[in-house]
Amino acid sequence: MVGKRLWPVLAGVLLLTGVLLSLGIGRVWLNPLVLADSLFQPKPNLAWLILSELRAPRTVLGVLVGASLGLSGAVLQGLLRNPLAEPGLLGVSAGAALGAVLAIYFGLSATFLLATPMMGIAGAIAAALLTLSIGRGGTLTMILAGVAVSGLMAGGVSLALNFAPNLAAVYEITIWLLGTLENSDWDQVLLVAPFILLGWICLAFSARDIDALTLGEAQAESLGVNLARTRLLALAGTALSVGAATAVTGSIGFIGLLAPHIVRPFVGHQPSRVLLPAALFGAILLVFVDVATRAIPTAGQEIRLGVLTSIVGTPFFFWLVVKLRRLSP
Amino acid sequence: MSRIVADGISVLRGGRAIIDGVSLAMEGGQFIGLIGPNGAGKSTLMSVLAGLLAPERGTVTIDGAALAAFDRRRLARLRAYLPQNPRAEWPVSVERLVALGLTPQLPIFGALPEEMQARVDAVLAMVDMASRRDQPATTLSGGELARAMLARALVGDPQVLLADEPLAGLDPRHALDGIGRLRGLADGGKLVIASVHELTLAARYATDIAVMRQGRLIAFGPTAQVLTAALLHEVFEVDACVTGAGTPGAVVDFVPSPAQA
Repeated sequence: MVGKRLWPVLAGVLLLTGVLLSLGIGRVWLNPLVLADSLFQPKPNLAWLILSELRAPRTVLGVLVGASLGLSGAVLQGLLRNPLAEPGLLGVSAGAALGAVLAIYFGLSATFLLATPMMGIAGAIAAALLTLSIGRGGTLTMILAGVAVSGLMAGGVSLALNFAPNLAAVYEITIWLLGTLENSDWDQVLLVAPFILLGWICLAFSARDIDALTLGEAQAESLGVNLARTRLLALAGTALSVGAATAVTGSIGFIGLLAPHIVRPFVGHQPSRVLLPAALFGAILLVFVDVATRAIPTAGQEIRLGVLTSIVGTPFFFWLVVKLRRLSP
Repeated sequence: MSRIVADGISVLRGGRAIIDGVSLAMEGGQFIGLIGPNGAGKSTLMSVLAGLLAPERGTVTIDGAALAAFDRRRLARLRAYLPQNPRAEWPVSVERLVALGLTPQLPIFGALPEEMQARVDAVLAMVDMASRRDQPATTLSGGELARAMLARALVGDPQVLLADEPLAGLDPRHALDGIGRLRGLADGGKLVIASVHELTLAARYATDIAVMRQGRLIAFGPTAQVLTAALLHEVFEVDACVTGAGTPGAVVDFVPSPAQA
């Protein structure tokens, strides 16, 4: 068992290790001496270009996306007081996926590279607005509206696959949906970072409210919590951060569900204290899984990130369920 | 000393009046025992008085200011509200649960200031839960949780306490302790409104009794005058034997009516 004071150190070490591995592991080995040498050359060498133009944006994006998933998962679990809540619950991820898929379907992504993430962000915001307009007024109605919006968006994706003009398009859409950080570049980071940071701010401001919700909705309201505002913060924060994340990486499951569960016992289960460590562990998990997608030897394609998070995440989740079963009376 | 005045409030659900034109005025120093059969509208009335439910008709004012226009956090500091059967949603420690009662006083971010920690310690000791402070709240028994929740309500030192069945699930000693404490608050100038089903305890400790039936307030006044066998017969439709209402030795006992015997 890790001590309560030790976890920030552990999280920092793990994140640093993950980042270094992510910068170091790939198709080619980068010699640190060559990299260091590049700093003193007027023209960057190939090793430096690989590091700065491929691996660095991929790592930064991995940290941003993983932290968004973990933070949003922690806020939603606190808001809904449901251990199964995760960022995809409110229809935001499905909306981002539909937006991105439409960009591929109509060939926009072929003419303009950032069309996919832009359409993804637009899709996420549209889905969030739909969830909000139908589901405002209560927590349960918001969950139900989120499920309905998810279904609608998933239906749209299926429709795009159904009517795809050719097999290549079907393949491209399917592969995109599996989620990946491959092909990350600084343009993508610059596009999504403002949305993600704004989303984090919204989510962070719900901290005190979700603490009060430990007492249930009636008592939280009596303590001055404006539940409508809390729900709006959580939904907007998720739409901005996870929507933007999904728009560039595709759907990545389980991180948002798992990260809060991993850290919760170490912070005394207090919802607001789960937020920061959940974001950190979301980033750690995502970066490590992304490193694994590169380290696992495959014949052709890299194994996709979303596929690996599901495969690795499920047994981990089983373990958590068994642990919960032992703890509950 | 706070004064709450409700004027002609009605709450409608599906065309039916759950609260039907209730008017009453209460002020600090009173401990009002709200009694009535199940479904009489007691909990709804408490929600309206707490400012959590806006009535369809009528107004509630605190110290002359309309409740509907009150700032949420100012209201949260002024009055505490305990719903029926409160639950802890996460296994936070008892101490942490109680500290949540200070939410309106706390900044959005940051830890609990030291003087507030002293306040938490004091209320934990008051409800006899100091030894359980580190226990996860979800592992408490029903009565223990009720005591912890009462501490949660009192930690912010509110002028008004609205408690919906605060004695439910408490063993005799803690029920006596609990209601004695509510009376103590009233004697200290606070306004306490609590719905109670234990009529003997209400007869002994409440300074005033409010009686609800089918959404209407049918009696409200000092315990000794209101709590009579005739009234209980009318409200609960059972024969009752009331002795010494409003005194420390009061007893309310229900007896089978001759028709049932």
